[in-house]
Parts: sequence; structure tokens; C-alpha cells
Amino acid sequence: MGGLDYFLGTQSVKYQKEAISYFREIEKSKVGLNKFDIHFLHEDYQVVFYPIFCKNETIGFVYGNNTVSNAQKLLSFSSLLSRKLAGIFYEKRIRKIESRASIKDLEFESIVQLTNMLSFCEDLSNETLEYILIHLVSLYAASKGMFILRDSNTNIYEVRATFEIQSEDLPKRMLTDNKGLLSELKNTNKTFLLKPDQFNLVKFVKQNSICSPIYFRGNLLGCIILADKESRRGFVNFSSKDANLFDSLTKEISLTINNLKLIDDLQSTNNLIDNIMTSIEAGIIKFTEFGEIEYVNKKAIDVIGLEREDIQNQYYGIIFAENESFLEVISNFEESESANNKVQIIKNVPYVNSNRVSRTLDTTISPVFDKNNDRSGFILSFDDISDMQKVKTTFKKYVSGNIVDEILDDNSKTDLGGTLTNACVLFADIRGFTSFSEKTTASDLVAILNKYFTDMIDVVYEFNGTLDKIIGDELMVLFGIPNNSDQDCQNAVDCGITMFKRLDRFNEELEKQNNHKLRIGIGIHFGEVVAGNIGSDKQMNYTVIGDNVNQAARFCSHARPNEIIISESVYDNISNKSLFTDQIFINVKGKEKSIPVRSFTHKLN
Amino acid sequence: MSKETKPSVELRIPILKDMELVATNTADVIAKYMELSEEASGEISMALIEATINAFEHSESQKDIFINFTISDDELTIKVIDKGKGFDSEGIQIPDIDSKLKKQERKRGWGVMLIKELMDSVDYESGNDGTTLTMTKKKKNEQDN
Repeated sequence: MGGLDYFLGTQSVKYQKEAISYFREIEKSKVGLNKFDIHFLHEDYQVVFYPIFCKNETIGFVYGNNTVSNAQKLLSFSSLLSRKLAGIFYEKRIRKIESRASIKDLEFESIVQLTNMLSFCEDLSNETLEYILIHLVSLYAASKGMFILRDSNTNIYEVRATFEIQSEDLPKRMLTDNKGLLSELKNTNKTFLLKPDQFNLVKFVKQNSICSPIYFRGNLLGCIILADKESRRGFVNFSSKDANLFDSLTKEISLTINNLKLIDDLQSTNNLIDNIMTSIEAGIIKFTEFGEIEYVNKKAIDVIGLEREDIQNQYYGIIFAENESFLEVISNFEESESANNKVQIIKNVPYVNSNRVSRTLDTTISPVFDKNNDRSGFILSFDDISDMQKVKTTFKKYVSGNIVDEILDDNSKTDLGGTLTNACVLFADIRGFTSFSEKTTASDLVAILNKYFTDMIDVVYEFNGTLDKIIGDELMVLFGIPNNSDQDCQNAVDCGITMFKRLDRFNEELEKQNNHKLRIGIGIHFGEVVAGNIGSDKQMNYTVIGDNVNQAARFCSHARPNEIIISESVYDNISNKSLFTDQIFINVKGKEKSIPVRSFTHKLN
Repeated sequence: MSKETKPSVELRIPILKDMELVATNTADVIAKYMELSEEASGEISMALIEATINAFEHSESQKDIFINFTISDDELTIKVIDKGKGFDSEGIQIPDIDSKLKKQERKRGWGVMLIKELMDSVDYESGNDGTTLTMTKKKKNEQDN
């Protein structure tokens, strides 16, 4: 066969190697050459050669006698072979693609499985993590596994779940990301194939392991390690394909853990807010811009008297429909707020809830802004001052209401100390009380005195007087304390006169019960006194002291039964001057000079 | 070369993985063209795989191997030519079946023996410039079977 020449057109070439390489050159240079038109002829033109192509190269020839019928057969035979050979490699390529596709399919399948499984995870408990780990272990036919997560409070990494790892192989020291495997993961954010002994943390590994980081907002949160892949031949290495798939699976797990972590964080923030809101004594109601109730705390729920579900997401107009004043507080704020974003405080708002419990509330409404400084609604907070009201009512039985309000409304009033002020002081005591008490039994005496004081104090209150104290059978009453008015002296005098009249009625009752009548004398003086809390931190009296107080007391002791003695300063300030005598001079204890006074004598009708 | 040139196919196969498939597929096409039975076609393919792989292995050269199919009315002649160093056909030993089984080399090493079983005749020509294995498969008539 060797030594013969062949022709392609006019070109003569040696058979085989030379013919083929020559033909390859032709092929390369003449793009668009129709391969099947190409053929070689032997030098004697008796034999024709048709090329066989494989993967775009001439791989051989079909040849035979160069007769017309034969050449046609040979040509079709060569093209059939070319097609057939091309088919082999297409088939192989398709098979390769198929096998790659089936690996992808497997990866896809396992991601789907994992995603399904993750969708059932509700928290970040050890059980959840163990569940994830076992799934991965079985997916990879690993023989051991470890799940490490960082504690967000302490920043120390903890082994949260293991699979088939002996306790002596668990890390003894605290895990941090300053060195070792965790540091490597933190810095590279990559999935690793690890040899045994490469890191202390994976010393339990016999063959090799894959380790993938778990990230939370760009920070290392932990990692998952799978070790020693099992096969029928014993342990085998995890491949880089395993690592690739593991990388995408842990990314999926990272996402889930991030979500669970966010839910956890949100939950604990919510719990914290709830706890704070519950422990606040004030009622808190948060409204949206549209007047829907977004949040109520426990105190508010108690006051409103409905269930939380019935209150939240309701329009306030519905919830507070029965409470006009309360409704007004909110609607007034809504109407005025757009003009000024100011806080509105309204006190003593009555509120009757669905259980007919009535309360008094001090309300504060303020607008709420979100972090972009946009209005996001408003908050109404209120103090339930119903108890305070109860205290006041009770308190007023013991102390004059004027003083109660004065003290409770202003905290500074409970400080020890006093102020110089003008006041009209009235003293009234029972004449001949000693002989009266001797003739009466103790229980009768108390009963009579109680009735007497009740009647007298009623009169005091009628004239806006402040009952300062009861000293035995003596009453001390202040006018103009704590608040002055130009009617103080007039009130004091009218109070004194009315006390006599009331006492007359009281005496009629006493006479009916065969008791002796009571007679009183009254002294009234107006002047500068020191008013304030006098006493100690533990017990103090809101009272007045000073020379002018003593003088009123002296006038009282000077007064005969049914007589009122007033000073000139009182006389100057009253309108019914004609009721009183001309000036008379009396000597009082502690004063060298005699003092001018005027007197009024009560006459029985 | 005589005036009568039988239709032939000449292949030049690089020593690469899976290239024996080119040879067997060509043989398939030829067998069909010659209207050989499926059984014969299978036998030719198996023999050709062995011969090709032998040529790949024995030639110990990186050069291409050549396969020549010559078609005649009553037989198919296949030559497998490698340009490596030759080997002594007299020295070919029938493999020791027991030792082969123990080594668990089930698939390979039976080459020449297998080819002899599969084909109607087998012949070697070995020289310094390579080895040519010539094997033929006769076309049997339906009546012969």
C-alpha cells in the first residue's frame, strides 16, 4: 500500500499520513468546503478515496474501484460512517450532560427536602438544630456531625447539637473566633474540606470532614461540621462536589436560622415591651393616625373593662362611645394636634366602663413619631386617680377640704416650713364644760360632744372655714387659709353668729332628753400669722401660729356665754357692724396695754 | 495493486480514550453493508475492541493506529496496524485462567485467545516498525447454518 501517490485535484500526495495531514490543511483553509464532495483518486484513476470524518477531522477513508456505480456506493458509505461516528460522540456528550443533570437533580431534591424540613422549624432550640444536623448527616452518609452556634449575649460559641461524637471529643475550652477553625471560617466565609488533625476542633475525624459557616448579617454565627463519609468500602473522602452542595445547603440553613433568630429577637423585644407596659401603673393606649387602637396595656384593659382582642384594632369612637368626656379628650386632641404637635394634659376625666365601674382619670395625649420623624399616631396615657379621690373624700372628714386639696394638689405643701400670711382666726369653746361633764356619764358626754362638733363643723364648712383643730371642747377655725379672700372676716363673724343659732336648736334637743344646755363663747381676730406644716417628718399639722393666733384665743376666753369678741381689725372688715358694741378695752394675758375690742351678744329668739 | 480493488475502509485512530468505539461503530456499519448476521456483527465488534486495545497497549507508542477493513463478497478482512515495537507472536501465551480469576482481572488479558474464538482466522505480522494483526470473518450463507 505504501509508496503510492494520491491526488486531490491536481495535488499529488503520499498515502496515509501525508494524505490525511494534507487533507486537514485543505479543510482548515477552505471553510464551507462540502466534505462529501471531496475525494482522492489514485494515480492511475482506478481507485477512488472518500474521507471519513469524525469530530470535524478526517479519520480515514473508504476506497474502492472508481467505477460510477461503485463510487456512488462508496460515497454514501463514507457519509453513513461519518454520521455514525459523529453519533457516538454526541451520545457520549449527551450521557455526560445527563449524568451532570442527575447530580444537579439530586442537589435540587436535597435542597427541596431541606427547605421543606426547615419550614417546620419554629425556634432555635437544641432540638431544632439536632433535627437539621441529623438530616444533613443522613443526606451525606456522614458518620459524625456537629452544630456550633454563637451565643448572641456572650459571643462564645457553643456546641448545640452533635451526632455520634463522644463527649471526650467535644471541645474542652471556650470556643471563640480568635483562632483555629472558627477564625478561618470568619475570615474566609467559605466551606472547607478538612483533613483530620488540621484543627483541634475536628480531631475526632478519621477520614476527612466538610465544614461550612453559618452567617447572620455578615457575621459568623456558627458552623456545621460533617465527618467521615460512609460507604461500602468504609470511610471515604468527601469530594469537592459534596462541599459545593453542602455550601448551598448551609446557606439555606443560614437563612432559616437568621429568620428564627430575628423572630426570637422580636419576640424578646415584644416581651420586654409587654412586661414594661404591664408593670406601668398608668394606662397606655396607642392609636394609629386613623384613630384605630393599636395597643393597650394591662392597666388600660382593666379600666376599659373589655378583652384585649375586643379593644385592639377597633376605632376609638366605638370603644369609648359611652364616655363622652373621655371621647372629647381624644377628639379635641385630634382636631388641634395637626396645628401643634404638643402634648395635651386634661385632668379629672370621668370614665365609666362596661361593668359600670366609674373612675376619674388624669389624661395625657402626645403624638408619636417614627424613626423618620413622621407622625405614626398618638399615645394616650392616663393615671387612675379614683383612689386619690377616695382618699380625699375620707381625708376631708378629718381635715378641712380646703387643706386636703391644697396639700394633695401641690407636693411642696407637705414640706415642713411656713409662710407669712393674713388670716382670720376663730376660737369657740364651751362655757362651764367642767361642771357639765361632771353631771353627765362618759358615754353620754362623748355622744353629746360628737353631735355638738358635727353641727358646729357643718357651720364652719358652710362659711368656707378651715377646721384647724379641736382641742378638748375648743374649736379652732381659720378663714383665709390656705387661700385669702376679702370675705374672710365677714365669713368668720357670720360663722360665729350662725354657730349660736345652730346651738340653740341643738340645745332644744338636749332639753328634750333632760340634758343641760351648752353655752359657748367665741373670739375672732384678724392679722398676720405664720401658716405651714408644723411638727416632725412623721407627724405634722398644717396650721397657723403667731401672736395673733394667741390673741384670738385670749378673746375667746374673755367672751362670756353667747358672746363674740372681735378685734378692731375684724370690725373694719365686716358689713354688719351695727350688731357689735362700741369699742371696749380689755386686758389680756401677755399684753401690757389694754386692747380695744367690740362684742356681740346672741339673744335667744 | 491488481485492477480489481475491493471496497475498503481505512481508519487512522489516535490513541485516546473511547476511540475503540470508532472502530466498532465502523465495523457495525460495514457488517450491515455486508448483510452479516447480528451475531457475527457482535463477534466482530468484540474482536475488534480487543485488537484495538491490544494495539493501544502493546504498541507503547503515542502514534495513531490504523485499521483497514477490506470487503469482499464472502468475507471481511480486518487489519489492525500499530507502529510501535513489534512482539513475538510465538511468545504469546495462553493466559492461566486460574491466576487471572484470582487476580480478578476478568475483563482484560484474554485478547488474542478471544479474537481467535470470535473470528474465522487470525494472523500476526510483527516487525521493527510495528505489528499488523489480520483477522477475517467469513460470510456464511443461510444454508450453512
